[in-house]
Amino acid sequence: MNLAPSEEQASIAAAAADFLAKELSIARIRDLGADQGAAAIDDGTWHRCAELGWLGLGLSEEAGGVGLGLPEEVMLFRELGRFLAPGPFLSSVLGARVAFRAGQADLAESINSGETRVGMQVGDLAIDARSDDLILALDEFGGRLYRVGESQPVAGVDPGIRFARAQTAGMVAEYMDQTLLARARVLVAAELLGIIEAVRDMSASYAQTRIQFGKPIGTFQAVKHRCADMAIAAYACAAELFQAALLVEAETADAGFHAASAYVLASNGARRSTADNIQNHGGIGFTWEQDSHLFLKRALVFENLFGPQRAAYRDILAPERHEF
Amino acid sequence: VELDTSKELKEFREEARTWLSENVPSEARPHTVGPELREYDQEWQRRQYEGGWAGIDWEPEYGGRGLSLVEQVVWYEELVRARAPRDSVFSVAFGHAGPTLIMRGNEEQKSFYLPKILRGETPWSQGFSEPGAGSDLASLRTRAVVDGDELVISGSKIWTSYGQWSDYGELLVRTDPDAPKHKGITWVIMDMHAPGVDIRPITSIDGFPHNCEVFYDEARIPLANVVDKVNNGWSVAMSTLAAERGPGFLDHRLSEIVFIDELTEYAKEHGKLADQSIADRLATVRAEAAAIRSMAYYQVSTARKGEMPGSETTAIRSWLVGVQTRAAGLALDILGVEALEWKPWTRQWLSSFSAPIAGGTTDIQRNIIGERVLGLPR
Repeated sequence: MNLAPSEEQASIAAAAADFLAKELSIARIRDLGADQGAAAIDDGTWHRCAELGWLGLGLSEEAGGVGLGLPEEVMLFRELGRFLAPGPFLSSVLGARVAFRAGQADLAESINSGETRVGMQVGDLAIDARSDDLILALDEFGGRLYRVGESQPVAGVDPGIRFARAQTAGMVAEYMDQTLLARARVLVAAELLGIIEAVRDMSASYAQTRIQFGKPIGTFQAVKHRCADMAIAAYACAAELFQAALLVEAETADAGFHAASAYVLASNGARRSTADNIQNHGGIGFTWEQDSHLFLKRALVFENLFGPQRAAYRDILAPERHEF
Repeated sequence: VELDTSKELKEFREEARTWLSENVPSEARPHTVGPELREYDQEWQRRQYEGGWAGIDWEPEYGGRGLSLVEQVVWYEELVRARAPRDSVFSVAFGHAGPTLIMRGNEEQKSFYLPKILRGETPWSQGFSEPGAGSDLASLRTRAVVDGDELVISGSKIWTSYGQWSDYGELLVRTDPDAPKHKGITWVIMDMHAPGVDIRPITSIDGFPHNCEVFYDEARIPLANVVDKVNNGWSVAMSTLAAERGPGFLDHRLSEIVFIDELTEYAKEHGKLADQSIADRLATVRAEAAAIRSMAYYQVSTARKGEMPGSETTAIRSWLVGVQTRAAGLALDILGVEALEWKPWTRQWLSSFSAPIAGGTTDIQRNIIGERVLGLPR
């Protein structure tokens, strides 16, 4: 099992990071977030992401996708997390898969091309789902796509995500497959890993330059250790995530266990790292103008995306033994 | 990132699994202080050697199988999966001394010492720490003076694991007291039976003498026992520690996964998962344990490209220690009042307190990660 990203996989990440840095800088994300009446991401940018193949990276070519796999999608989603990319990437990528597997190639193509967006049902909330968009309802048995009827905005915790109470019209597609949730957990774990790595680097950089008592605060062990813990969490999370991506793609018996494990590690790592990052920054970390809170809030949403963490715990406790 | 499903590797795993199912000792490893512990470990090591399972990735000319690190990892996994004895008086020999000799020893040293390790003849111990040199290892003061073609060693070492059962020791000594502290150190092969060597076991908090204090009073060894060059021992010690952070002791790391499987099985059988807080902690630590194995593969995947294990792999050890500590504590909570009896998990909990200390405290490890991986100032 080779867990080091190949050159091709690394180049997917590099190209994504390059695009995100230019087109979805933090300043631009803040502008998009300030206009809560508009969608989380504008149509122009969304279409450009679709043209880059981001919505169909792991879908076969016959499904109108790029024909790569979950490990490649992981490389992309890690960057989406790192850059706090707004927009319904996860639910659209999963939605295209549901549509194709449900035998609706045209719909899959429409999602792939950026024409149709798919938001996500999270408890009673609809996230990034406008009227007439589709919405994905995901559970341990599979996924269903519904057409969104009326959508009533609700004030939400993350300025980069639109929250609403939405009426759903009819079901559009259904794909009952237990591996869909495992796939979703792996992709969200990838975004959470990106978040852990982003705040790790943000904290390390601040600790090198912020001077107190005549020296950089990174010389203080208390600060240094919080930064080190972020690096440790990122390393463990990356390893487990890459393994989970391989196993889910190969549909092995222990795939669900590893997907749930990667998700739990990523959630826990991100919760702690994003909080510690605020502490490392001191007073400025508590302000709206500094970016720390954006990572904290995104991590919170991801942690709750599939309901209580105990659902993942059940999947982790299920196997009798670890498979070697 | 790709799944290796080669037929050869699958066959190797099957072969290992079959052999282990027929050869793992049925008797448990004695938890006593007498010579029977060494005899037990020697017998088990000999059996592995005779079966062709010693030194999977060591060169055939030294008695190894000459296979790759990947097969070595698979062998470790199967050892652990088969619940084979994994603590051993040969741990230092396989995790430290052997790899160091392979990387830094000369031909004579390799052909003399390595086969004896594989055949289960000569346990090794580690003589790095001193009463005044713990985390600050480079401040060590045990002296070695060149006298003709011999080194004369005086001083004392502490926390020498397996000292009382070992034939050889990997010893760091100061050969140039006037040089800057990292420059005057030499890595030598110590004969632990030499005159002037006094080994005194130290009883740990679990009642077992895991370590020893060793006194050297003008003990003599040939100059030929120097590994690499005189005064270049710090660099050799870094190779030793790289081996430790790398694939060395991988079976110990992986055995944590099996321990947590056992915890899970026990908790299910005894209805302990009804306590939601126990279930939550168990699930979390089980997920964390899964990462121990994936981190090993992650590291091996990068090592295959010819890189030495880097400082970022210090993260592996820090992670492991966290898992060990939490799992050992959880085991007690699962046992409840029963833990007050002298149960194996009670003993394991006590012995787990060495995890964040031995091999460099986790505090120092996190300094290393902060400084060498994240570039934070000292």
